[in-house]
Amino acid sequence: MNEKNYEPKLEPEKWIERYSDVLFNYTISRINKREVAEDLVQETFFSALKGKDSYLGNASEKTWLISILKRKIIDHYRKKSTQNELSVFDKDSKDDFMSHFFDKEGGYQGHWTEGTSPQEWRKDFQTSVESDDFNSILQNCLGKLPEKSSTVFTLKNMEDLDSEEICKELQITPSNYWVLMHRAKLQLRECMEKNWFKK
Amino acid sequence: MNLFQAFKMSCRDATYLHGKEKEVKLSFSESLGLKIHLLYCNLCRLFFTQLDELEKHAHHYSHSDKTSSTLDATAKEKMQHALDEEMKK
Repeated sequence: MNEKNYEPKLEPEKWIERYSDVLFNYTISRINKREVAEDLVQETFFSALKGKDSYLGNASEKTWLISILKRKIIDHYRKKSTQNELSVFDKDSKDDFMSHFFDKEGGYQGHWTEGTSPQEWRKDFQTSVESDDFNSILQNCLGKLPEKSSTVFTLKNMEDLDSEEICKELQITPSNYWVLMHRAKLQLRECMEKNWFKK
Repeated sequence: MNLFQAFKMSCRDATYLHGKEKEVKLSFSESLGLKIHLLYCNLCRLFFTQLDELEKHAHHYSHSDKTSSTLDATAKEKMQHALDEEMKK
C-alpha cells in the first residue's frame, strides 16, 4: 500500500487560504466567466462543509475538494444546456456551420475556396504552444464558441468525460454530440489560425 | 452514400466525415471514400492534422497547472466571511 503523504483530516477554517486560488484557477480554465467561477468555488466550499462527514480520508483534502468542484462544473453545464434548448443544428447540418469554407457552386462545389483553404501554420507552432500567450488566446477562442459546442468540447477535452456521459449529462443524442464536437473543433481551429498559427 | 459518390467526394463531405469518424463508425463506403479523398487532397490532409493537433494542445492546456488566475483579496474575504457564517450554523 502507498504511504499517504497527507493527514486525512479536514480543516475548513483553512480552506480559503489554502485552496481558493487552486480551485478558482481550475474553474476559470474551464468556465470563462469570473463571476461564475467565483460562485462555483464558493458553492464547492459550502457543499464540502455540509458533506464533511462523508470525507473518508482516502484522498487528500485538496483532491476531495476538486472532486466536488468537478461535479459542480458539470452540473453548471448541464443546467445551462437544459435551460436554453438551443437548436443543435439546422436541417442540413452539413451546411450551416462550415459553408463559408467551401465553394457553393460550379465545378468546384464543395471544395475549399481560395481565401479559406487551410494554410500551413507557422513553423514554430509546436514550441509556441508552450507559451502563456497561447493559453490566453486559446481560452479566448474557446469563449467565442457557441455555448453548446464549447460545453461539449470542454467536457470531453478538459473534464475527460466520455461521449456517453456527455450525452447523458446534456441530454443530447450521439449524433447531436458529434456534430457539436466537430463544429467546436472547426471553429476553434479557425479562430486559432487567425490569432495564433498564421505564419 | 453509394460507391460512385465515394469516389468523387468533396472536401466539404470529407470534413464532415472526418468529424463523424471520431465518434461514430463510418459505413464502408463512407470510410473508403474518405480514404480515397485523402490520398489526393493535401488541403484536407493538412486541415485534419491541424484539427487533431489543436485538440491535443487544448487537452494538454487544461491538464497543466500553467494558468495562473487568482482570486482577488476582496473576493477571498467575502468567501471567508460566508464560510465562517456557515460554520457557525
